[in-house]
Parts: sequence; C-alpha cells; structure tokens
Amino acid sequence: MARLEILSPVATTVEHSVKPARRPSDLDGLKIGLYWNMKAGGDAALDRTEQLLRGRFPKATFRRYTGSVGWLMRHCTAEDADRIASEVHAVVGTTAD
Amino acid sequence: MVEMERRGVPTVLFTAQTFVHDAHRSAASFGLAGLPLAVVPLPFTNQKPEDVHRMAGAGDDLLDAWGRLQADFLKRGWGDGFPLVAPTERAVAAMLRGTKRAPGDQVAVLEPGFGIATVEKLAINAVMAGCGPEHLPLLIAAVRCLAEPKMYIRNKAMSTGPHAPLVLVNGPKGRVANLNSGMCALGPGAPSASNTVLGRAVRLAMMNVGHTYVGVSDMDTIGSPVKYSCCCAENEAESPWEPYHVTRGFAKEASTVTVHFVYGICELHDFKSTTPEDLVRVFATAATNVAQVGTGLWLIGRRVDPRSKTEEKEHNTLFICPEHAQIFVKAGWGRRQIQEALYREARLPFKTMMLNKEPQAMAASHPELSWMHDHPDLPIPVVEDPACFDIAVVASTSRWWAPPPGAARTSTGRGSRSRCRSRTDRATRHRALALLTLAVVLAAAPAAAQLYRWTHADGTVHYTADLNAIPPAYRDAASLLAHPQARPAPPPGPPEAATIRVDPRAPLTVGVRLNGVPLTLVVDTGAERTVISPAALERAGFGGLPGRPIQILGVTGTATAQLVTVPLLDVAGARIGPLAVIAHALPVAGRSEPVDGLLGRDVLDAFTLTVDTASGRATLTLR
Repeated sequence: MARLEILSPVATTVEHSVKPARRPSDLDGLKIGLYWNMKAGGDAALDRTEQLLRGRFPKATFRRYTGSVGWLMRHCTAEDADRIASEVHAVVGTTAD
Repeated sequence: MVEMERRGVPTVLFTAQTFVHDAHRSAASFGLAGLPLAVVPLPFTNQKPEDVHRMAGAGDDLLDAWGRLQADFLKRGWGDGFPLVAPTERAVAAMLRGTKRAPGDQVAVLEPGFGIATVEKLAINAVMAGCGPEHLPLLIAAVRCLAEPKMYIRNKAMSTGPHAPLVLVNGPKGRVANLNSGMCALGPGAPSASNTVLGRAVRLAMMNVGHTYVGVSDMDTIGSPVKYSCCCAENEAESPWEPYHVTRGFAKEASTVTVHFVYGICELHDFKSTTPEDLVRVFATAATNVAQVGTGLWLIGRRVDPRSKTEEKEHNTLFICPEHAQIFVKAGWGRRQIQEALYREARLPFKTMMLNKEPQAMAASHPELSWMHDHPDLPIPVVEDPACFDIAVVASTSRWWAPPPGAARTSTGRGSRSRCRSRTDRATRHRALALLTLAVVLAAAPAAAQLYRWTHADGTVHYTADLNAIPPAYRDAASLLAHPQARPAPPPGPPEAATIRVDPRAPLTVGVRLNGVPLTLVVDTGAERTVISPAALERAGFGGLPGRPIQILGVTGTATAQLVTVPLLDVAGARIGPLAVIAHALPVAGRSEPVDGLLGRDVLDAFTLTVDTASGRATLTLR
C-alpha cells in the first residue's frame, strides 16, 4: 500500500485548567445569582429558573446580573466576576445559545 | 515492455523515481509514449529483500494514499472540504524557506483553543492550502493580526454568525506573492490563485492552530462561502489616493496585512452616476439593511473583550473600483469626504434600527439616549462615526464592491510589529454621541425651541419639541417645560472651586444646580452613583422622567428606585452630563436640614475634594 508521510497541522495548546468550585449541598438560605448576557430569550429562562428554584428552596434569595461591557452580548469583566462572587453563593447563567 | 505491448499484452514497469524521465523518453523513442510505470522510491539494487518487498508491495498508487489523506483529514475536521495538498516533510521544508524565522519560533497563541502557532505549524497549514514559500510571511502577519487582543478573535471564531476573515495586503510582498488586486481579485480562477491559497491558509490556521472547528468551537449556524478564503491586494497602482496601509500609519514602502472580519459580501453596482453625491446616495443604501447585524449595532454598545477591555466599533469595508475612485477624486473628494457623505446618507429610522435589538442593551449602553424612544422616526446613522467606513481601491471593473457591516475590528500588521489602539474614553464617547444626537434632533425640528411634556392615558410620559406632534386629545394638557437660557461660555481661567462649610455635626453638603434650580446634595464618597430625590427632580422640571427600575443597596438595606438620565448638572463651575442618576428619596432621620440627594463618585471622581477641618472648610475643584 502506498504511504504518504505527512506532518500534523494541528497545534499543541497552552495548558491551563481551573479547579471547579465546591458545590453547596443545599440552596436554601443561599443567595443565587442569575446571570444573563442579554442575548434574546435568556431572561425568560432565568425567570423560569428563579420561579422553580423559589418553589424548591423558599429561603433562597436571587439577584440578577449582566455583564458591564458589550453590545449584542454583555460580557462579564474580571471586576464584574469579583463583585458577583462576593455577593452570591452560586450562579445560574445563560447565553441563550 | 514496448514489444509486449506491440503483441497485445498490457504491461506495467517498475521504475525507480530517478529513472522515470529516462523511462518515458525511452518508451517514446521506441514508439510507445506514455508507457505505464509503477514508480517506486529507489532502485531495487543493493536493497534488502524486505525493503524491496515493501516498495514493490506498495502496490496502490500514491494517489490512493492521497485520497485516504483527504478522507482522514476531513473526518478529523482538519480540512475545509476542498482537496488538500499533502503536508509532507519535504513540502513543509520547502515552505519554511519562505521565512528566516526558525520553525520552532512562536508567532502567537491563537484562540479559541489557545493553540501555539509556531512557524512550522503555520507552514504545514500553508502547504495544505496550496501556498508557496512567498505566502508564508504574509500568513505569519495575518495570524499575528488574529492574535491581537483588539481583534478579540474568540468572539469571531466561536460566534453563531458567519464571521469570515477578509485579508487585504498592501506593499511589495503582495506583488512578490503575485496577489491579484485587479480583475476578479476575489476569485475564482488562475489570476487570483495566489489570493485564494493565502486566504485559505488563514482559515486552515484558524482551524488547526486556533482550534476553530465547526460544531465544536465554531458555532456558525449557517456558514458562508466567504469563510473558505477571502483575500486580495489593494490596487495601489490605480488608486488615486494613498494606499490603505498608509492611512493606518504605515510607511508606503512597508508590506502589511490587514484582517477585517466580515459577515458577507454585497456587490454594488452603478453604471450611471457621474457625481460623487449620486454615487454615495446609491451605495449608502447597501449599508441600511437592518437585518445585517452590524447596522445600528452601536446603539446597544460595542464589541468588548472583557479581559482586555478593548472596544471595537462596527465598520463597513468598501472596495471601490478605480473608475469610481476617479469620479470622487476629480471632484476633489478624498476618503474622508466619502466617509462623511456616507455617514450622513446611510441612516434609518430609530424604530427600524431597534427592530432586532434588545432595548435593555441600549438602556445599559446608552441611557442618555433613552429619549429616542419618544422619537421613533428619527433618522439614525447606521455606524458610530464616519471613520467606520474603511475604503480601499480594488478591482478593475465599474463596480463598487462593499462587504456589509462586519465585525468591527480591523487589525493591520507588518511582519515585525502591529499597532494597538488605546481604549476609547467612555466619557468622551458619550459626549460625542450627545453632540451627534443633539445635532440630529435640532435638524429634525429646526424651529422648535421649547420642550413639551404630555402623559398618555396608559401612563406613558412623552417629551416632544413639536406641539403638533401631540395627539389633539392631549395637547391642551401638555405642559411647557422651562428651559435654562443659554449660558455664555465661561471666561478661560483656573477651574472654579466650590467651597463647602464643614460642620462636624453634619455630613458635607454642596450646592449644585439642575436645570438652573438650586439643590443641596450630600457629598458621599461611599456612593457609586448620584442620588436625587423625586421631589427635587420635580422642582427642577424633571418630574416623571422615564427610567429603568433598579435595586439599590445601602446601609439601611435594599430598595427599589429608578435610574433616570438628566442632561446636565452644574457642580463647582463645571457642567457634568448627561448623567444617569438614581431617583430616590433619602431618609430624613438624623438630618438637621433637608437635602435633595447624594453626590456620588460618578461625579466626584471628576473633582479633587480637600477637607480642612481646622478652618472648617472643604473645597471641590475640577481636576
């Protein structure tokens, strides 16, 4: 069988990883952030999410967030992330995609 | 073999690569040109049997191996769907002769996959695309453009939209690479073959180095033929203006690559117009397609990479043919005049512009423009400013070829260096926008010098400068708002300072004016935003301003308030605005004198506050 020896076009990647945050065992009494990037429809999903979570965790409280920069989509800056992280215990996010 | 063929017996002859030419010549001499050959790498002499077996047992034509490469690469997602050139070691070594850089040199780290773009990896992808060594320096420059922070390549590569890199080359290296800038510059065909392969190499580099793989990281929902390859050189020889890269700050003799991400291509034509005004009128219509994502996108903000905070505006890139360029230049028009004329001409009503845009996004990005909702028919420019029309001269027919508004960032780089633009100052941007929109409003109602407020039965408060625009049923009840008289410009001199009395028993307060009405605000360096009570807003003539509900967090807890925009606040001799303020009543307890609100850091950051407790005075001085 004829053989062609070729070089791979695929680049190696810069390795970086993020350790996942510890998950709470219960959401009752916790502050839940609801993050929307302002792409159409995402807010409706978060409305329903809040409704359902309220039903299951009556003592949970909710705060809405979106990114402070952007256009069609609002992006979360490092400062936004710092602030959100300081204000809530967990986040539900949507990009509407 | 020829004799066997003569006798009607089909043959094939093992021939080592180095003897192929000889074999063809001999067969032709003996009367049978085109004698079939089975080409092997080496002569069988002095070879071990197993090596001969391997060579002889290859059996299948190398084309079969090439075919398997195509299928395998497609299966892995490494190809673009067109046949690829096999990136053999020899082919890559030949490609690397196009640069003095070492194969292991790192050109960039390319998102979204954070692939390390070494010179060698780019060379491999260039081979696959069909490039020659002369293309490699241009590909390296293009990849450096892609990796520039201001390019925000992650946004383009991973989008659900069909972002395609348009590559524009200027300077002598483009001519060395035989890039086409004239007829059919964007392909297809032999004259643009060089353009095609370079553009293709950029796409393959995005895929295999940046790991922009369809369905994995490239979430484009429809795709685009432009994504395969879109590359040309500027027709500098036939352009009456300075080359495009010179307008970007590069020397004329430099070779540059500009990458501009576009959504698609819209070919424009005009065989009839002979004046610049007529040409602009025709071609501006191409920029007024609100279904095209970039049209009016500035109303809801700018593309921003949240990590570097580099902002970009939506642009239109226009390729003007030489004939049309001559019409402009004969009338004394340069690029700037064309840009400004297009900017004036390419407009849509506000309501049309907002058909496919999230109002909340506009409120977040431009709260000072919320009044536009009361003027739905107001013509709005499709781009943020005239410079958002990029112009180069390409092609050779009487067409003006214009990609529709694309992603905003254009990055132009040389082989050794790329320019970076600094982040736009947000305050400056808002003032510029305020001036722009103010001019538009005045143009729409030139005779109007007063502002009326009326309230619809559904509770909506409207503002208008035209009494006749108010429905008859509400006209009598409309109230005329007092306008501050135009103030004379303050004489030049050192900034005026406001002196504040310091009372140790009470918070610092400062007198300000809103719409000429004096208010007293507490100087609160702990407040992010200025707060004005609804009663004070009413006194100043801004009662019932439309606003956005927000939650505020204070020492006493959370509350619901309205975020409203006031045009100008006079503080310590300076005029600050437009300004988004929180309309909320402050608790009275603990205050000896009534106050109208808080002056927050959104205003205070423009001043230097000096407190001298010994003398009992504080001053607020504009920086």
